[in-house]
Amino acid sequence: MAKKVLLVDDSTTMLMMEEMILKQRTNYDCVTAKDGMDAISRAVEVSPDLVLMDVVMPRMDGFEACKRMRMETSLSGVPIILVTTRGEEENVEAGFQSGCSDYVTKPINSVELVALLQSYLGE
Amino acid sequence: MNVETKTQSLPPTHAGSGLRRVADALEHAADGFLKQSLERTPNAGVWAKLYAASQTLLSAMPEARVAPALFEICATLLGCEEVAIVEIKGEPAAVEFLDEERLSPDNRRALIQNGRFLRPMISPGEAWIPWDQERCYSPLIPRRISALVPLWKDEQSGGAMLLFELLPQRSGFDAEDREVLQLLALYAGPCLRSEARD
Repeated sequence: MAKKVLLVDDSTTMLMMEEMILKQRTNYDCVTAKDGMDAISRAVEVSPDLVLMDVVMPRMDGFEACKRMRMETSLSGVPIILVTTRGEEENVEAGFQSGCSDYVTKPINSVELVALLQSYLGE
Repeated sequence: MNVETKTQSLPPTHAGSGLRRVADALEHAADGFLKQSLERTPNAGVWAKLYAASQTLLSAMPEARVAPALFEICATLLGCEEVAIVEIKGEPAAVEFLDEERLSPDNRRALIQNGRFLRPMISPGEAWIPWDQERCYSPLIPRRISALVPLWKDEQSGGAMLLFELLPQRSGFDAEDREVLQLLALYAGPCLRSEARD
């Protein structure tokens, strides 16, 4: 069965690009959400194998959504990769404190993104 | 396929032809990007970016939100959050700010003071990237600008989108970025102008 990836971003441009990259280069199924709150309900509903989530979003940011997902028993072990705009140390540190497994910086490099996801999910 | 040649086969846009015609041309381009993208070519990432950029512009046009869409493309696909859309008018050249995103006061001042240097850099259909140039038009502007995307050029005026400092993790534009800039150089101006007219 295909692995399921939950893509979370308030930017439709970003969601479109991520979804297309994964369609081109992997056999993963993609599910999308537009902010942190939406992401939590979608994650509980579809039980993704991995979450790729933006940090800066309306209603609930990626750090908070990450923390809350870690409190859900069904999601506590799911790899969460945060997409940050700035790679500064404080942001990365805040991401890991919120329970993320890894991070990538914008703009996304398609080769690096696929390699990172495959390192968690396999091909 | 050479990444540099991807946008050269795009259909021409017609600045005076209205929203529907510009949208048709862009939609045609987006279809092409989608087809190429699904063929799983080795450099498929660039097709995904071009498709995402063209679809973002297409969906912004009917809502008259082309400028915010351009800012989103610059931030998410090119790693540049500081952008200005300007028009250079008259003699001596005066800079009019049509829209902007996170433009610093320093860069705003620099633009106002150096507007005359921008006009020669506006070459329709071709993005201007300072570090590609052998000769700089101004000692000040190229240091601050990462790219200039031409929007239109008339005898007495010129429109451009200026991208300033890139995000710290970026050291410059790669081949994929240049394709996105080229797409914007072809379509951003007609999208903005047709939105203003229709």
